[in-house]
Formats: sequence, C-alpha cells, structure tokens
Amino acid sequence: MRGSIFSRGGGVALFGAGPPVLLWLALAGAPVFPDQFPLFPTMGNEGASGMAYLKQSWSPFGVSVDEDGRVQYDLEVEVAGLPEVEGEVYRVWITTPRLDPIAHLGTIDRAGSLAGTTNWHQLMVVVSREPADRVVAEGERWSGPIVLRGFSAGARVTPLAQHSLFQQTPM
Amino acid sequence: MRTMRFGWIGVAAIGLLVAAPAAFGQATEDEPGTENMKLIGQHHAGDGLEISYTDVEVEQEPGRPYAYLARVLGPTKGMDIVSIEDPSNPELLYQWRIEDPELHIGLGGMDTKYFKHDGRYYVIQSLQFFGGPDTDLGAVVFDVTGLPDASTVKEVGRIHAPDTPTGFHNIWAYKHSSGKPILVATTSGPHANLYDLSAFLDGAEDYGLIGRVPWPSTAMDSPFGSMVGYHDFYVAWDPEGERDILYGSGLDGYYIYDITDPSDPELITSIVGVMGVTLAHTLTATPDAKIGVGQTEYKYSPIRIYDLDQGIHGGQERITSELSAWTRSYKALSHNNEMRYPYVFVSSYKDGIDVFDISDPEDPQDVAYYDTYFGPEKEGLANDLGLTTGNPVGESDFNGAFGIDVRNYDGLIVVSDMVTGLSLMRMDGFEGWHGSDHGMPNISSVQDWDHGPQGLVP
Repeated sequence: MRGSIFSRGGGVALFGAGPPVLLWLALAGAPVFPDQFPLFPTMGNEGASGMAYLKQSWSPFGVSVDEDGRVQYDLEVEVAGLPEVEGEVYRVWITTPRLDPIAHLGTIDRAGSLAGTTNWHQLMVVVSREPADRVVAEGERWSGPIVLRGFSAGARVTPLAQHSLFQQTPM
Repeated sequence: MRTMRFGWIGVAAIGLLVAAPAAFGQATEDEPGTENMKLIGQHHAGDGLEISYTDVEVEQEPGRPYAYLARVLGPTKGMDIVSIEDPSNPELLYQWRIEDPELHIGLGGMDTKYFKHDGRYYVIQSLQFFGGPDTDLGAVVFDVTGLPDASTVKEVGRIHAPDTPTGFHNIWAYKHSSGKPILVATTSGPHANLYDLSAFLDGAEDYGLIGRVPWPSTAMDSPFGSMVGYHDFYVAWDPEGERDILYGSGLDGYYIYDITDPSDPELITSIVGVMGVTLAHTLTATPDAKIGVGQTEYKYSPIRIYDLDQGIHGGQERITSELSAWTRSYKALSHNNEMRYPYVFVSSYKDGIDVFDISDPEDPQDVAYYDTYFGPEKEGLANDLGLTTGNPVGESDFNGAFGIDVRNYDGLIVVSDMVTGLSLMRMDGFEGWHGSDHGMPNISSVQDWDHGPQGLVP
C-alpha cells in the first residue's frame, strides 16, 4: 500500500514548505483535494483489503476539466489478499451511492492495481470477481460476487445515529 | 446471650436452605431450560453468516400459521417467511432480499410487523442502511394474503424517510381507534413517524405520514453516543381513559403519549431520572395501562416494573422510580418483551428467554426460562458489524435471543435467535391467552384488525 502522502499529515508538511514550494508543486501537478479511502471486504472475503486514491488530474492550468466542464479525477485502486482463481479476474467498477449510473473502470493487473479516470467524486468503488473472457459493454454491471467495496469521502455523508450498535459502523 | 443469638440465626439459615426451591438460573446445553418450558421446533434457513437473524413476528389467526423473520448482514439482508403449520417441523416458504446486499451498508432487516386491512394481510419489514443505496429507506411492505402459496407474495411499496436517513430501527403496527391501521416508526430524528397504512396502500405520495410524536427529552449526549429520539414502542388502548396510548422508549426516559389524534400527540407522563436507566429501550404495559415493564439494553441492569397508573390516570407528570425489579441473572442483558398478563415473556440475548409473573407487581416471580444460545461467552455482533473485516462476529453482548412473540389463541411461544434462528416453544399450563381469563381487558401486542381496540374491552 501507498504511504501517507495524501494524509492530513502530508498536508501540514506541505504548508510548512512555504509559498514558493507550494507554487512549484501546484505547477508541477501536485494533487489538489486528494482523497484516499479503504476498500473493505464483503462478508466471506476476510483477508482481502484494498485502497483507492482519488485526486484531481494534472493540468498545467491548475484544474483539469472535460469538455462539459466537469472536474477530472485520477482514480487508482490497489488490492491485496484476493485469491487467484483460474479463468477469473477482478474487475473494478465505480458508481454513485444510488448505484446509478455504473461504470466499468477496468481489470486489476497481476500486481494488484488499476488506474483510471472519472469525473465523479461522490462514488463507490466496487471490486468483483468475473470471468476473464467476459466482454463488458457500456451500461453493464458486475455479474460475479462483490469482494471489496469502498466509499469516497463525498459519498460518506450520512449520519450514524440512533443505536449504540451503529456508533462504530464504518462505511 | 451472644451464643444464643447466633444459634437462632443459624437455625433460621438452615431452615431457609431446606425450604429454598431448586436454583432458578443457569442453563446448560444438557438442561437448557426449566422443566415447564419445552422446545418443540426449530428452523434455520441454512444461509447467511453466523449471525443473521433479528426480530420475529407471528400471525395470530388460526388459519394463518406464519412467522416472519427479519434477516441481517452479508447476503441475507431482508426477510424470511416460515410456515409453522406443523410447529415441530417449520418450513421455509419465502425469502426476500434487498438488491445488491453487499453494497447496502448496515444491518438490513430489523423489525417485522404484520397488519390486516380490507380483508388482505400485509407484512412490514423495517430496514436500516447507513451507507450506499437506500439510506432513506425505512420499510418494505408485502401483500402476503395468498400464503402459503409463495408465488403470490408481492411487494406493494416502500416507505422512505429522506429527512431522517438510516431507516427504521423499530416499527409497530396498531389498529387505531379511528379504524385506521397505523404504523409507528423510529427515525434518526427527535421524533417518531406515524403513518396511515391505508393511505400508503392507496399510493399517498408522503407514504401516509399523518403525524409525528415528539421526543421531549432535554438530555445531553447519552453515554452511548449521539443518539436522539426513540428506540421502540408499544401502542395500546387505554380502557380507563378510552384513548390510544403510545409507550415510547426514548433513550434517557420513557415517554407516554396520547395519540388518539395522530396529528397532535399529547404527552401524558414520563418515566425519567430513574437510577441506573441510561438507555430506555422497551416499555410495555398491562392491559389496564396501570403497570409497566421497562427494559434497558445493557448488562447488570434488571427489568424494572413501574407504576404507570399514577401517571396515566393520576395526572403525575413524572415517574422517577421503579416499583420493583426482576432479573434471573445479575449479568443478564434483556432485550424485548411481550406482555401477556400476568406473564412477561422476555428475550434476553445470551440467556435465551425468560418468563416471569407480575401478579404482584411489587414482587415479580420466576416462572420459566429456556436458553437458545450456547456460543462462547464473549462472542457477539462485532462493533463494526464486520464491515471492515468481512466477519460480523466479534466481542460483544449482542448475541442469542433477539426477539420473542406469543400466539394468543394457543400460547405458542416464538423466538428468534441471532445465530440459531427460529425456536418454537410451549410452556406448561399456558395454552393461550385472553385478558378476560385474568380479569383484564383483552389487550396485548396482538391487534384486533377487524374491530379495533375498543372491541378488546368487554
């Protein structure tokens, strides 16, 4: 797993570097409003783990947007502890908290990682086990079992209220 | 003289030992209960994780032998319908599961209630999700009129509460004196929601929301975190005052409301400031609305018996102490109860179920017990519900007998255990319940869907 470059501590370190360094980092494409969040195993997949890293895509103009003006993000996914299954692969999907729409980001490589882009920042990352020969058409969703899932910070804005059992419930 | 005095004490002590009945307490796998309580049938669907059952509801008409089981966690978030036509051989009839259960973050099916309207039967399954899709979903309603033909079970609608997300932890279905079937639901806000289920069935855009019961507490954060509002309810007719009463368990206290006009609930009295009560979990009442049985949901806290009469009929604004208390074990963590006066049937997590008698509310008496859970002492629902590890079993007190219900026409006792599933029991000498057999109105959690609560009073 990656280190704490995107953590709050990293941010403090950057502030301590002073305006010239910050300006240089911005011009060099340092991540703005980065988010990193864990991917938790679904029930029955104990031992699997993952992290997702969401940051604004680099742009010489400060903010990278698509032709519709939506902010572009780089999304990197790293997983571990998933068993290799003959004839199957692990695919990564992104979706909104309402599961609509759903997009296929790609297939986890043998090193356990995948990189892609998106213009969502309130998103769920879903990792499923799928037949290796499956061709995913636009608009299709996972068909195999979900093994990992995680929520970006923007998708975690719900209260954890009402019952003691729920006070420590992570997303 | 001194020797003489010890002599008398010694004689008295020996006499007490000789006269004392056999110990009433610890269940073992070889002797899981008292002789007067018999396990007659069990059912587990064989699916889901180690912990996957929560509450249970049993239908009350002789021709409809069905139990509804709420299911939680992993792939089984939803509801099961089980035929108990042959109580010794319960049979799974139908299962409903939320779509994409792995992405619905939270427990899933929590409380289950049924109701009857215009000759049709419906089941309401409360749900709780804290993240992912459907955080605003409170309950799903099914038409189950056609049981046992499972192909006829149809979802008729979903009740959403978007202004108080995280669903309904508990629900109560009540035949109101107005004739309407009413749903009472806990929310994550400082109030309970009241729905007119007939309006909901007619497609009301607001799901039939007809009122809100305020949570009158002025409490600061409880020791259990940032909880607000109600935990659960008992709703019943008050025969003396001729009104519909909601007994709300509201964390720092119990709040008792007149909901005869659901759009304008009126606080009658409160049970607050009782020593040791920091999480008011459940309150039920005797059929005459004079005695209450209150539970907390933590260990080392007995069930407390309250004199409700002074508040409900006597005008006292606050009840601040209990009349008496009862527990089988000082370590017990009781959860829910079903009042069938003079008996109180209790689900008590790792201790299974208990029955005690409140004929004399100042001196409750042991009647029976039966344990349904014999797992490791510390093993229970993990604090994070297993959402970070994929394994919902951790160290906690939450395991074992979760819910309990009693079928009035024949006295069948129906229990849901978080691990072992459905258990059906009978207690010697208890072959049904009707209030008139005990000099009481026929008022319990069981509704008279055809005639309303007024018909329960002879």
